Amino acid sequence: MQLLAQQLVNGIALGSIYALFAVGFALILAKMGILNVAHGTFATWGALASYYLVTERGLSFWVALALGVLLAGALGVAADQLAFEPLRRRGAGVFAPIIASIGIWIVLLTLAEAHAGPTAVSYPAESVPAEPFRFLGLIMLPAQVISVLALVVVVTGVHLLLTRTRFGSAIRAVAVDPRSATIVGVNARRTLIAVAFLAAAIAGLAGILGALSDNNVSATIGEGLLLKGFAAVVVGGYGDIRGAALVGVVIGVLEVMSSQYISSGFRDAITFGVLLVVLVARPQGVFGERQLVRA
Amino acid sequence: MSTTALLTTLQFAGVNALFALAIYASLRTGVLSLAPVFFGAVSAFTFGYTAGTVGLSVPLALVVGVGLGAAMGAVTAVLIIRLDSHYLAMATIAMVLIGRVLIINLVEYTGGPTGTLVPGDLGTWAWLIGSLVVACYVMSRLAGSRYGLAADAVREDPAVAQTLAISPRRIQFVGFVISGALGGAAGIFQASFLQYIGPDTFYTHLGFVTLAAVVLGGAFHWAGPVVGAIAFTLLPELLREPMGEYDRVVTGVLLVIIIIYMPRGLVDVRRLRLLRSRGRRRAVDDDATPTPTDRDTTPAQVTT
Amino acid sequence: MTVLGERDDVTGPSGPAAVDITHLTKAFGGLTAVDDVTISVPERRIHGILGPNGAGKTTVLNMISGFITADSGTIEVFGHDVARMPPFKIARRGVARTYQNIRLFPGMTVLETVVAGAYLQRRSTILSALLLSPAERRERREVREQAAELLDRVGVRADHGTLAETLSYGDQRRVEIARALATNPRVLLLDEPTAGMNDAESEAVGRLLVELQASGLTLILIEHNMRLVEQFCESVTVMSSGAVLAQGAPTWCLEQDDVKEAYFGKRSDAARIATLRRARRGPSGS
Repeated sequence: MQLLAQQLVNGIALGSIYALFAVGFALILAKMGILNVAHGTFATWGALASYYLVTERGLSFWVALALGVLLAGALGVAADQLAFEPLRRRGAGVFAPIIASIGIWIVLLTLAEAHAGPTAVSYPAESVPAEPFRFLGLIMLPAQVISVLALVVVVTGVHLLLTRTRFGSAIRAVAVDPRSATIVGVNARRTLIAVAFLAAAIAGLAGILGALSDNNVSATIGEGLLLKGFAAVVVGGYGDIRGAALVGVVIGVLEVMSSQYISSGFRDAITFGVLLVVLVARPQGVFGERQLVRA
Repeated sequence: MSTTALLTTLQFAGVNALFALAIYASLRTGVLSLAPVFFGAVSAFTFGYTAGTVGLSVPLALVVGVGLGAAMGAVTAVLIIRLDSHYLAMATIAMVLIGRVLIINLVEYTGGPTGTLVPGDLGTWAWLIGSLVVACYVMSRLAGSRYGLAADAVREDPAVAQTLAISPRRIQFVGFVISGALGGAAGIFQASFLQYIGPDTFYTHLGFVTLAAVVLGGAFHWAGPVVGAIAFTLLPELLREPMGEYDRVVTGVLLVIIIIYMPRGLVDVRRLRLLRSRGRRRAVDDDATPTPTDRDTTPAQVTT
Repeated sequence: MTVLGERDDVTGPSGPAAVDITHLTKAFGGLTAVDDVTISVPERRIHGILGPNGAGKTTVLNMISGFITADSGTIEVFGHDVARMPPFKIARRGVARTYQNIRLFPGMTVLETVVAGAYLQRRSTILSALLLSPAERRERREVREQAAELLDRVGVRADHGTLAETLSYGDQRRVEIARALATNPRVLLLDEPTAGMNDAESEAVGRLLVELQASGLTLILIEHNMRLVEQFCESVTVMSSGAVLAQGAPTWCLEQDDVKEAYFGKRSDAARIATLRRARRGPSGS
């Protein structure tokens, strides 16, 4: 029982990171209609940058985290403006942005690999919070607590932003039809840039927290996140970020539980098996498209 | 680059061309699918097992593998063809991911994480060129056929295609079967050239790079994927010396530039026809014959 | 909404219905685009659907061809209910169409476009295409010849090897008609076939309609050129805001006050008559 509860905690913490990533991924997909496979590399670069700032520049972990998140956001904006904006302007179809994002993915991953090198490293032990919390006999590492808190804050924040603010209605208007949105006085381009920044920054945060939890900074952090986040978005639907976030957490729990009680080898197979079954049985996602955009 | 290295690279270019044709086979029906990578993996490991462990004759094992690929294409199509384009692409990527997990866990047949050895009998120029010729023949024959025109119609405007009594799902089903057969063949030749395959041989990277090759070459004519695959395999090798580990950066940048500025790729039949049409009109104008009111309305819906 | 006027003293043939629409309704969100529309078009009739922009004419056409599914009501084509069928099955029942915003396939030549329309006529299979059997060759030659004939028939004079999308507006519309005819339809739906054509070209399209009618087709067209409607349509349906205002012979329909009002609003008689005259003359070459 104790073990089960502990694994549940571990699963939720792991799932929070997937969920965080999924939120950013879903934002891009729902509001811009782009399946961005380069999204994982934003996470990677967030983690690599924060690691560099901590080890080479001697910054505190928290400052490095903030700067890493900013850098990831900036990469997102750069990718959007350099690659996706020209395609939007041309009115290219669905596939062109996917292909452009593959190009960005290749570039950022190659640069990350060149920068990080093949060996896995971790944040210096003294620079990051390490003292575990104990509660009802359960152990929670600081990284886990931070991940769960970050998820709660981000999901609440983004949800309120989308549903309760002027900026949120601007995003909705642009997502439905950028041209009409411009007519009613929304600056479409600035709105899209803001969404691109937000989504990539959240990915950066997920990358840094993932590296912190794993105790491992490498060039491939983003790849794993991409796959899980992607599964969360498919199963949860991308219309409402809360759905994707919830499924992200569930995937984390499923993974931890299945490696504990079934087989660690089939851990990923279970995640993606669920993904495929849902795709075939309920293409609109488990929660359907309580959607702002009609795709 | 030495001659041997160049020849080896060219061989991989040939294999990649087969993969690229497999992706093109479904893309030309309007479906973006990375499933050929999965089909290739299953056929390659089946080939390794039947030809290596069971001791089936190599040509027979090839036929079995290609047939298996086609069958998987059919099953996949039945399951996922009704999904929307984004989800369908996602589903095929998920297949590739699941494939790797299966390979790692089915140790008895695949060698698990360490991979397995595969007979190299098919890793010759004769087999490679032969299979490429067959694949190109098939694609070129289909291009102008009843199926080929229907596929073009479905890709360009599925709604209009339907009013011509064309069932998009049936066309896309056929596309998937062809894609499966070609993917299976490509996987087997890949395996036979490498003589060793593991869980990472057929993974997302292969799918993405192959897709990039199709886009570069052009997804509107069968020659496009072949040209693209050769260019995309040779380019990083040629860049390796001056660029070092950054060779792939060029690949990525090129991909973005192509999709923005040359969305129909290097082999662009439409552009050729456009030029020819303009040429004809100019010739007519020079003759000072009255031309119909030309407002040059070009609904340039380049759907990629 | 009530049907304000119906008269059947129309001149055309009045056999069994080719297209029989009853109580057709379609709403998009809160907007009822088509509201309880009932239209019956007998075989071998040229029937016009008129009405101001936004009247729901194209929506009716879209429902007949299966582009969108009706909320309620029935659509029978030669006695078979097609209201819930996918478009390609409706096409197999002999319904073909053209589009208000021309929808040709980018990248296809004029000839290919029409040959693509002959999909249903062909017996070729993947295997016969691969083997290039004599039957396949013969079929390819035949469909090309047939397509060339159709292009001649609709009056496309341009080189068949040019890209269809580079043709003039009028030629693009004619290629669309040829593509639709290639399916060997029994019912042809035309959405503003003369838009963007001058008087002479429109006239030619009108004569083509009569010719097609003579060869056994039933034609339903959306048309704004009143002169053309009066000259070639045997019956019309006038729609406004999704509902049927009047049905019957074109001259009779156009004289109804409600029809005039729907088209031109409530204005002084003089202004109304002037506008009507202009409309009857048709938009010249715009």
